[in-house]
Amino acid sequence: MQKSDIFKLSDDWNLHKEDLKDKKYYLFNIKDGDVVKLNEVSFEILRVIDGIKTLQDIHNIIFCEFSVNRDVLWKDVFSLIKRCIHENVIIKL
Amino acid sequence: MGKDNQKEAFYFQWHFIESCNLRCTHCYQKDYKSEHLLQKDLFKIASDLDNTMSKWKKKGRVSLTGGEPFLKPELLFSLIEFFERSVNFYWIGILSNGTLIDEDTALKLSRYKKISEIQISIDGASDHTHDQIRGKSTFNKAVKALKFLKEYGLFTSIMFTLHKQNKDEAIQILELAEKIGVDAITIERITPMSKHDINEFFINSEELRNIYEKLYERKKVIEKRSNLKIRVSRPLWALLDDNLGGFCPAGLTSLSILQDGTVLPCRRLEIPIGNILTDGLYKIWYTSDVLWKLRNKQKLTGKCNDCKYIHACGGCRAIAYTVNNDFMAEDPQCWL
Repeated sequence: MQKSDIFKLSDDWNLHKEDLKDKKYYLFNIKDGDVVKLNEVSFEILRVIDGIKTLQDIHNIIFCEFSVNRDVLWKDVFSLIKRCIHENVIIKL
Repeated sequence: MGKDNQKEAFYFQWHFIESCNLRCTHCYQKDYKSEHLLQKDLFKIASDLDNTMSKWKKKGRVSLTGGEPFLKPELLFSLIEFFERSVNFYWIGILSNGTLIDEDTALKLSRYKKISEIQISIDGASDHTHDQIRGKSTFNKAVKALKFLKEYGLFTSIMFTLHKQNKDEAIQILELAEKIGVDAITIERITPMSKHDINEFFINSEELRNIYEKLYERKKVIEKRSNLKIRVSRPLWALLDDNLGGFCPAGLTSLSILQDGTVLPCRRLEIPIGNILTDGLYKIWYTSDVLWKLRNKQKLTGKCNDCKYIHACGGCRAIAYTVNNDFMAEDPQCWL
């Protein structure tokens, strides 16, 4: 996987933030009904995936939003992207 | 990431046909003409409901209605057969005006194990009031239908839609239900669907409070002396007694489906949120902004927002929508 790779969310999946006092983050498969609970950072990473931004762009955006170590964030981004490709949540362009 | 599915029961009210043999004065239907779906499309919808219940590990309940469902008995019974066979549905109800139910129909219905309730609409304690609202001779037919159904051991209930034209018989309808020997009665205040309906049918909050208070007192007496269950699980009842009432399940554990597959949060909350045939249930359930709003009590406005009864009330969203044009607004019939 390269930092210049670009991804988009599959049409079968829908991201949702439940706007309650305690915020909840979900990924819904609108074809087979699967529901995946996310943490806030995973949700934000998937939210900024738009078929235009590279992984480097996404890393920069998330780094500005959350106070995290750059290397730890790269590890989280790669790990999430890998799992999402495996589950067909995102598609590499 | 962890997969999470829903639990417990889920209710569908499925208006599988629109045609009706009556023209009740307060009916929420705009039309009676549209063609019903082909049987293969009805089964496609039924399969979607079935698969969804399986996926969510929920126990399905479905009320089959119209229009008048007994106008198309072949479709009605084919859907009953479908849900009777389904392992994901445990409860089948039928909502009818009762005018087409004869002894043979009652006998046929009694053969299905999962038919758990036949609800007949009765809108007056007297034939005069009921017939004025629903049409000539309909009262006697509806009462006769209830007797046939009882004769064959079916669980029967009455739906009384409370409004300006029958409010004076709200108490007597309880006595009638007891006399006929039905198992349950629901008194549901009308949801006006237009300005005309508001003028013709709507009861103001203070008057509604008086009626509810009288019903509540009568309920206590009747339930002590008979097996009749007087249902008070809808919004506003909690205002009289903390043990009554309930938050509306629309968008949380129930949905309504129309004759062409259009999905509504509730039959009376006429905001289409998709079509089950073209969108599928998952897409509607997970992506509808209307449903997400309904699920979030914190987004209720007006008096409902910080009401101490919100856990057991939350107001009727359909009445808020038709009267205030905002389905998250306060319930206009709340007397607090």
